[in-house]
Amino acid sequence: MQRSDRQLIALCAAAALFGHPALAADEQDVPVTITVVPTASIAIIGTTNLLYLEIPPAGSTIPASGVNFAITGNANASVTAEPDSFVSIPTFDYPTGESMGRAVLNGNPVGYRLRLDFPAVGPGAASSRLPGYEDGPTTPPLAANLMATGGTRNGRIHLEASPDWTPTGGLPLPGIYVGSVTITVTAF
Amino acid sequence: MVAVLFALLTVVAFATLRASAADRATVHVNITVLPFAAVDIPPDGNGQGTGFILHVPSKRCSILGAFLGLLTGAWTGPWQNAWSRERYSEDNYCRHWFADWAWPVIRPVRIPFTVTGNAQATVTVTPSSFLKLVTNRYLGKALAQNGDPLGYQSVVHFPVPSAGYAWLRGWESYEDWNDWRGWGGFGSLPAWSRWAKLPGINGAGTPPLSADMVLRGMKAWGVIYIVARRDWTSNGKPAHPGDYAGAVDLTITAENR
Repeated sequence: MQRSDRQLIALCAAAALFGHPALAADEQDVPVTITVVPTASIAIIGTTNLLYLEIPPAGSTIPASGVNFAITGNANASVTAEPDSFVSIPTFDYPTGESMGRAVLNGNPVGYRLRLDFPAVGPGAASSRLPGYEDGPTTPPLAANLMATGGTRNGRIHLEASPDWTPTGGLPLPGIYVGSVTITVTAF
Repeated sequence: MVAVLFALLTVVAFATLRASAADRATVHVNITVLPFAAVDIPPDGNGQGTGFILHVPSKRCSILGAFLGLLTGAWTGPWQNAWSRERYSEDNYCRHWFADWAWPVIRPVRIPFTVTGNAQATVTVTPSSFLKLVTNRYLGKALAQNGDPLGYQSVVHFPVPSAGYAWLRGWESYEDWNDWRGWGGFGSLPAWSRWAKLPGINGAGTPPLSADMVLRGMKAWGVIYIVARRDWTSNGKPAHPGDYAGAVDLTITAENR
């Protein structure tokens, strides 16, 4: 006698003992809903998340030395970047003051611009910058369909700075000016 | 009747790679401002950048000089030896008697420049080429179109007291600088406003002059003077009238204060 037969006999005996009629197998289907929400995550590529630039001369990290990142997800992803604080710098385009990212040394600021590339290369490659006329994230938001490329697209963020990007237009004192930028990715 | 139910239980799962549909990353920004200084030389005035033209004017005293020589006995006739003729030439009469009129001076060239910076700025001026004078002293070398050389002295004043600073009145007249003894004509200057000249050594520029650009409001002004005399030649004979072209190298360095 097989082990399963012995288990069935025991089960029936138990049913008889407790007054139940002879047991028969039954099944019922239960609807199952699996909701997969759009998701996206960001990871910095490489060992550093530091945007570094020496001035003078005026310059930028374009094209090679920006910070690279990878966006991974299962849907479309939209990416923006925003400095942690802003400073108004008179420039040619905005004589009354361009809203730039703010890096600080001993309370003295210098301004910087951002360029966000996403996707950085390949089909649909696009760039965005800070709005300039107001504080806020890079515009426009840059979107890409992640599934079209196996769920991942790479992006890059760049820094641009000039020694005369100070609130007065004067020269900043030597030293290291510090700030930070938040990159936000949203799935949809 | 008690229904016994055997159900196939299935776990309803919400599959998410992350807890939400948005994610963030922080990128740090470091902007290193280096100590620096930059110089701007307007291409106008007497100089074209750091190039310049020294004009040796014609003499006016050929006849008058000889006449004065006769009167004063300085020129004693054709029996003079060559050394005497050279020494008591008409040039010397002109210089001696009617210097300003008869021997017009070589006007100095004035090259103003502006320095901007955020650190300690140091300036030196070096001629692009040097000429050895009969005195064994080396000065800058300017050349006429035919290749004749003329020596020149470079005097750099940095920082000058103000943007509109010019040399003192009278400097363009003969006696003020033709018998140059070290440019006392700067007058009374603030302690931070200094000047330097070529040391007379082959290849050596002016001693360095420094300014704290922060104390100067990140901007300071300077002037290079190019000064020449007719007899600053390799053989000591007066240079022929004409234009002599030269150039100096202006070197500026910056370092932390």
